[in-house]
Amino acid sequence: MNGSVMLRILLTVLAALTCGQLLKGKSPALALLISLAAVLVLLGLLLPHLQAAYQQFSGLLTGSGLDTALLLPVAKVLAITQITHITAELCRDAGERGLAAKLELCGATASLLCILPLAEQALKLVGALGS
Amino acid sequence: MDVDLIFKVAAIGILVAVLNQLLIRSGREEQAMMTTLAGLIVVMMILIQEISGMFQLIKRTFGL
Repeated sequence: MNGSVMLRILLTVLAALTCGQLLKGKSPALALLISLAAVLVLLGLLLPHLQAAYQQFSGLLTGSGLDTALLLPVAKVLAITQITHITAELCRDAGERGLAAKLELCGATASLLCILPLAEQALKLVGALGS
Repeated sequence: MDVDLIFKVAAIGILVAVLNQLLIRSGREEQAMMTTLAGLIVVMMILIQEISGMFQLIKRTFGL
């Protein structure tokens, strides 16, 4: 990621902040949707760089002789965590703290479900080492 | 997807806010509420399409 991308991200955030503050008094619901639109634009800017990092990390795993399937649950949990965090903060911005707490609980459950097969494999490995 | 999306939402928001004020001042509260609701639905429809596209992109990027 070079400086121009970071500059674009900063300017996008500033534009969203200005538009959001402009609309906050007159139409709070639309101000919230501006925040959501900003999140989408920023993710769109960031995703190509995330893809490059993911591919490099996959290359490193392949080079070290590890199975790249091990990376999949980690990527899933990372994605779930980030989506949950962003949405929960949006809920808090709208003053819905209860909804944000429930969403975080759902996110934690989804992460747990994603990571369980990996934990099972690790436990089997420990069991095989012990016997 | 670009910063145009933010300005599009902001433009709709300003338009809806102005229309809302005009209708409230002229004593048409029900129509003002309907205008706000229509603006919200329009923006929601734009954003839902973008969210759907973003999810597809994330799934394609990480092979999920």
